[in-house]
Amino acid sequence: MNYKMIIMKKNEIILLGFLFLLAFWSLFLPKKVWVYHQIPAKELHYELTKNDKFISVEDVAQAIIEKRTDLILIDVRDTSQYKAFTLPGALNITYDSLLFKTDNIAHNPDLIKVLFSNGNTLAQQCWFMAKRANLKNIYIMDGGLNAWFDNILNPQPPQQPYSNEQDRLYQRRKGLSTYFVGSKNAPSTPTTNKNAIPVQQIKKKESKLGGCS
Amino acid sequence: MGPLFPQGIISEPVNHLIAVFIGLIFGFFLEASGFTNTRKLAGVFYGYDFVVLKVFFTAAVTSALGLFLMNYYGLIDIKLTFYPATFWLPTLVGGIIMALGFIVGGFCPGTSFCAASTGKIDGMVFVGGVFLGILGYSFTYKALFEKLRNSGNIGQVNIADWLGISEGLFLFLLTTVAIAAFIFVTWLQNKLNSKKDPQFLQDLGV
Repeated sequence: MNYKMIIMKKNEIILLGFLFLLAFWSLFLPKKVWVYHQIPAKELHYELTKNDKFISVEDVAQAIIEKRTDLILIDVRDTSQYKAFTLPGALNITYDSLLFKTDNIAHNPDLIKVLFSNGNTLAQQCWFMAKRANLKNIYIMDGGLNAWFDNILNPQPPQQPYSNEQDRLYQRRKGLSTYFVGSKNAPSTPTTNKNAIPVQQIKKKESKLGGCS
Repeated sequence: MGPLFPQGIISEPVNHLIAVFIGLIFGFFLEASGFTNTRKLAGVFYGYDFVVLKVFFTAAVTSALGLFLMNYYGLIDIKLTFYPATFWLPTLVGGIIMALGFIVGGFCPGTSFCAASTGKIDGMVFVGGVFLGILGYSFTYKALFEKLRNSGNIGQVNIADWLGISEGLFLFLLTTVAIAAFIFVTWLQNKLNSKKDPQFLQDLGV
């Protein structure tokens, strides 16, 4: 082989050398797995304005009692707070590790994830980050653990005057409370709410016999 | 960070403006490299000029390495870039037609536009042919091409995954093959041209 025949121009040699160095460098880099893919701003805005991101504490309590396997509770507070008190069966994925550990359960799109903190603020911040990162099926427990204490562990009767709906909610809370704190909060017999708007039953008109009505 | 447009970081008009600037630079360098000369482009098929092969290989390797490294270092999320499914049969047929057009006409679509804009009549005729081809395809799509167009779908294919090797190793192999091809065609070009009369190449405008 005549080696004079493969003499290349200087700039060609520099270019090829540079590409070879880059390729050699790439050889030792592991495959990059993006932790998340961001969703466009318009979609995020739509998600923010929707009101279906909250799940009530009553529904969460119901899910715990029913031992639902398709729903997980994620406590996003510090580990010290988690150890002090949390909901039965809740996992602790702190706000700073929610997005950056791809192996955590929050990235499973098939599970319903319910985030909670003491109030709504931290859980909402985490929900926003998770939504921006395009995590699916993610919700917030409305009111956080404060609402859990007020409504499930220590439900208070509604103040007069209250509607039938408020009364039903109170009875439901007391029922749920029994499961978590024992029988002292067992639901009483339905109260009669004097101030509730009475339901007027529409009586069917008696049809007259014969003739045209 | 990137890609900028799919994530709404830049608006559509800005995206178009950037495209115009990239187009200007691309056209400038195509012309500067002699890519508007049909003889230079066709030279790869006759063995006296391999600049087309060198440019395309360099472009492919540079973009592959650039995208891989930018993806790795968090500058671009490659999953958000346009990543079409592979239809191998229509791609093969289209490739054969493209190669035939390249040999016969001496241009590929991009270089024909470059040549036409520099006033070359053969470039303008080629562009006219491109439009006729597009219209012909559009009007006969339902009757002739729809079945072919949708055949051979193998989904989104990543060659490295398909071969069962890491992306880094695949890129290294690709670059090595490209460099080997670069050296080989330089040798071939010098060998073939040394046998030819220099006047012959000058007559071709190379």
